[in-house]
Amino acid sequence: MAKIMNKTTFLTLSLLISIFLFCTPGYTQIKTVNVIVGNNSVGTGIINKGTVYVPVKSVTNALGKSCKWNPRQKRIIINGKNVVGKAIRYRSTIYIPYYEIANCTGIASIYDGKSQSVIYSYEANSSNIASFMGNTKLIKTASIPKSSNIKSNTVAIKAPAGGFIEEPFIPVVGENDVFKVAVTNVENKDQVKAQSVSNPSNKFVIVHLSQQNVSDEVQIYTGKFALMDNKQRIYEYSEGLSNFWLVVLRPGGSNFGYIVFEVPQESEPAKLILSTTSRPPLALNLK
Amino acid sequence: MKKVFAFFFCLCLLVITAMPIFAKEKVTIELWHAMRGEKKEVVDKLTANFMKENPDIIVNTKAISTPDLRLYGNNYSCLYRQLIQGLAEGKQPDISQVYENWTTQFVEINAITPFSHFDNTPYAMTEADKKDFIPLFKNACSYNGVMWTIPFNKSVFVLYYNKDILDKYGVKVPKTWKELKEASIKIAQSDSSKYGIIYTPVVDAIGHLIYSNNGSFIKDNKPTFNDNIGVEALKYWTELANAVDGKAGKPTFNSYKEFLDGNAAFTIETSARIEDVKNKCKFHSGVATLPSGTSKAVQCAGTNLAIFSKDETKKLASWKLIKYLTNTENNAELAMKTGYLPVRYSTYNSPIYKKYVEKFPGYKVGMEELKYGVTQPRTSAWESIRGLISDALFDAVSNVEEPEEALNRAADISKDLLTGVK
Repeated sequence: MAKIMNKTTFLTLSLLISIFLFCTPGYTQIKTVNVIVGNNSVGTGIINKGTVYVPVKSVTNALGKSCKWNPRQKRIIINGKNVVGKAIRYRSTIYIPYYEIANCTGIASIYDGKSQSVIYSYEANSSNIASFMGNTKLIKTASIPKSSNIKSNTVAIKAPAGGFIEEPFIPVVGENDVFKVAVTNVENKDQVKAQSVSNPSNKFVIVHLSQQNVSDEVQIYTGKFALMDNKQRIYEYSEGLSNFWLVVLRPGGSNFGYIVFEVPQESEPAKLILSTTSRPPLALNLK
Repeated sequence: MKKVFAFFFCLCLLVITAMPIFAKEKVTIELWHAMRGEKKEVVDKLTANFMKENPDIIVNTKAISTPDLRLYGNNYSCLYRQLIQGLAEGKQPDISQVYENWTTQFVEINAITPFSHFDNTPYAMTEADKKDFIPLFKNACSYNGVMWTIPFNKSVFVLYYNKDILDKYGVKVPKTWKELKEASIKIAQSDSSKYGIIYTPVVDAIGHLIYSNNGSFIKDNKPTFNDNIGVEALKYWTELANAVDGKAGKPTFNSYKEFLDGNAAFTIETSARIEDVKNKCKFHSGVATLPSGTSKAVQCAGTNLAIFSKDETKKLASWKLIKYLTNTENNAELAMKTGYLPVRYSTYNSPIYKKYVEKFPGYKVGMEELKYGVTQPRTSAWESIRGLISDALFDAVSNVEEPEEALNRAADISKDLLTGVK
């Protein structure tokens, strides 16, 4: 290395990389918040650049209000009214500022910084919400001071220009002597094919994958995938919601699609496990 | 006396020892299917009758049903998974229902037996027998000119309508897709408590319009469903979904039940639902052929029977059972009890079936549609591509994505599937 690159070149490159990393917009720390409708937790919101965002589909579903996307105007419509504020996409879920839902539906909402919760209540005044919260101190503005402590319970995300924030998934590959499996993306969603989670404290984890037969023999049964989370819990996938149709794979043949797991909200996908009848399970680390 | 006794003793001994030679050994075969309710009862009855007529064959039927639709998919998804698991472990059934795209894979790995295998037996399929099968169904069972499966429970898509709603608002049964759209909008505008058309947002809905406008899903192993015809097909459903505040065309996975509940003027389902519609609707219902586009085309549905046995004795027993289940008389029995279509001309022309169709005008519709029948692609990757197109339809009618973008995205992935899955 030293022979190829002299000290000056190395320093210049290091400086350039540092400047690039420093200037890349939108790498920030984001805090999650609990979203409550009535007495039920319906999902997790996020604080991005001082604004509290909530997952729009989960909240409008819980409130029984319509939520549509108008592709021509590029606008979200809640309860027949346009959402004015900017929507963001994080891990494939669309979020909007929490007060936008109140503006469109007339249902009272408030962010409580102490309990880190956004609360929606049909009882349309703040005192009732305060009563519900046990008279905790209410923060009535949407914006959170930038100096607020956002170190705990944080996740790193990328916020590129345009208002959409995404965390790129780095593909992972695993193989044994029969199959090569690649996971190309992992998404979290509250709804798949109009089907919501069976329990509001759950979420869908969608794993996009490919599977190739790397052996010299035809593989008739290509196995079954399962998800292990950070607490070592194993989940089967919902075949009715997935689009990964088992096919017979001849040598070199590949199949791909997505599989959908329903897991608790706090669950973090840790491993994808392929179980076949002829080999020990093949596990891919997703973190 | 001693000599007489010794003679009879020897005779008895001879008879007893010779009995197994003359007694026919029984063979047990297994039939897997995914039918339920009335349809399952017919299969059970026919196999029981077969065993009475063939005491040397025991048939065990296994009706595969899903324990949880969301977790394991529908009955047919479960049947497919169990079939390939069974094949991998050597525990496959002797006979099973199969779709055409499954058959493609089973033919490629020599998992099933073509019926030409029995050509040199007394049970060979005669030329008259071959000609008796309705060509559309027979062709769907043939690969490179060889018939690998026998058509069994077949149907076509038809338009069901609520006659009471149509009469109330002076709407005629639509003959074209344009008329169906106009009728659906008119009804939704006239009655805010009713939907125009209610349908399942899956690939078949796009297929109705693609095929009846001379389009295709796949051509030369390349996706074609995102061409102008495909995009217009998806726009059709998207425009209906957005008309009259979402009342003109409602996409829902519960469409059939909602139609039976009287919530909509129209729905599109297979002809196999006809008995249900006739018996369960609390309103006057009707059945019509699917509307036309620039031409007329109707998608077929349903499965065929294939032999998976490896043992020659079981293969022959399985073939006898398949012949029995699909003979003219039993095919008529299945058709009349379930609403499936006859798969043979002789069934269609039989006096008993002709008498049956006279009972209700809707029974004739399915058979009338057969001359316009088309089948969906048979490529191995079709099941995954079906899912991608269904997702695109769902996203477009939910206004998540523009029809063209949604189809292009599905086509991009389909290209890789068409070359990757082999």
